[in-house]
Amino acid sequence: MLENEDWDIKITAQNNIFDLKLKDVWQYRDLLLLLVRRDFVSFYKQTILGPIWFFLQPIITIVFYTLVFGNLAGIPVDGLPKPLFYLAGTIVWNYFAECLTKTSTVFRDNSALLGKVYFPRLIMPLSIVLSNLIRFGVQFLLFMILYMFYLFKGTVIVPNVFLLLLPLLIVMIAALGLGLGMIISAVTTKYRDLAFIVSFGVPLLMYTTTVIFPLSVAEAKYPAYSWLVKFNPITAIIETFRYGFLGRGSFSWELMGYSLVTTIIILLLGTIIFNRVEKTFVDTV
Amino acid sequence: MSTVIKVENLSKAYQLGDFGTGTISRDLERYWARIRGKEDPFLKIGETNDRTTKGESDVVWSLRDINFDIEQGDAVGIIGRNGAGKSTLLKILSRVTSPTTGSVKVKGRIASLLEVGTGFHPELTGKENIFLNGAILGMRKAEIKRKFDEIVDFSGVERYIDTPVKRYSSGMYVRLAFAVAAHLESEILIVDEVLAVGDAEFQKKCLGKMGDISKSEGRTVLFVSHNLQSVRAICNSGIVLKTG
Repeated sequence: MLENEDWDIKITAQNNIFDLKLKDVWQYRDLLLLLVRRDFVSFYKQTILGPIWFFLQPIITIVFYTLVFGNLAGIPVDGLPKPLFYLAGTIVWNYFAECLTKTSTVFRDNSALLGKVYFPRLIMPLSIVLSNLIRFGVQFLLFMILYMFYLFKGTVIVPNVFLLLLPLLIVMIAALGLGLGMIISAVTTKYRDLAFIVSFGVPLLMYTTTVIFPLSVAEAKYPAYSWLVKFNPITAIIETFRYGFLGRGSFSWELMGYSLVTTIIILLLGTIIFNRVEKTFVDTV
Repeated sequence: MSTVIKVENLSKAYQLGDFGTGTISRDLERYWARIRGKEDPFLKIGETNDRTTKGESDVVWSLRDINFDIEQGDAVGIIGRNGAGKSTLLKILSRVTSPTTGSVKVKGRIASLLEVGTGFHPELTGKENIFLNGAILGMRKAEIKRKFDEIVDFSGVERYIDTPVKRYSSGMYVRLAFAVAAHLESEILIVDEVLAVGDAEFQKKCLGKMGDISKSEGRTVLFVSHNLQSVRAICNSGIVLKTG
């Protein structure tokens, strides 16, 4: 028998935690796009309004926020038009929250598929981040429409150069959601306790960042606890987004730097943990 | 002829019972043993996999020290009783899960059909699912496009190709799914017992196709079945698994 050593695939118990198999991921790029398409198409199958639902969700949300938080509770919004203020916070937060919750249950939701066929597991969370990016794009379009509406109405909105940071902000939100989601997904494959925390915790977490109130209000009203709001790395992202597009709010390099460093650490940690678990999770999920 | 699959000392242990508060202390113990570089204490007490008797420990070896080589172009039938470890073996070979110890070395691409219609999305149409399923099995989009007509033709469900697959009968579902997998251009094809649902005509067609794949195209086929007749018909060698 000919004995040569150029095997294509070696299957062993060990896994190199820093080997992300990005080459494999690239080979399966068509699958990635098809999964994104699947998410997108199956979202509005058998509906009459179809893709319009992508617009309706945030519109209804900001109507309620304006009525409840803006008018009823009377939380000041830095003197900006209320719908615009809420929409800016909501689209950023939604992107993060969707990435996080979907990624954190990725093993469980897809266990039937992942338990029967091999493909690079990283494809699955990546497809979640990508399909939510499209959703973010649609909602951002809505934001721009509302923005133009207020400009034509004569509302004074002064954007500044920080709006150029938008691509960085998007990458940061995606990385944070993906990283945290991967950590949780890996931890919950065997013991599902953490999944409960995610399902009720993520909506609550929204109140610890500046979606429905500006940072300035938190600092003025609760000076002792405003560090809690700043501690949430999403705060810097939302504040920068608002500051860049709407000209109000705050921007500080320290807060942004803190957020960036946290994001990188979480993403690295998430990838390593995910990689450790992906090989045997089918036995325990 | 050259060896395309080489399996050495392959073992796989499974934990029985329920996971809950009781198992976390044991997990911590195992983790502690691993940090100190010691052998996993719970694998030592693992027992052979016999489904009929009650055992002492709840760790079982689903597979224990399996060794075999498979040559290119072989059609290998894998037989054994329920729970003997056939599917576990196939899962390891297709990289769905990893072995506890031992190694497998493979030359070439592996396509595995452990279950029909994996990744079929019920809301999508037959056509959309062919593309999705093909991609899941590792095909490129252009490759699927090229073979699309052939796949539809083989499946024999052309009439329903633009209907969501949730409206398919289970037989039609299997037909479409196997048609996609049969057109993979991989060097090695792994098929678990999946053809049971199709009608006699389609089963014959599939077995014929698998025979073609191994005999005329020189590709390797691994085939699990309880139907000894069909195993005999297409396979030229076999593996019998007995309690791992």
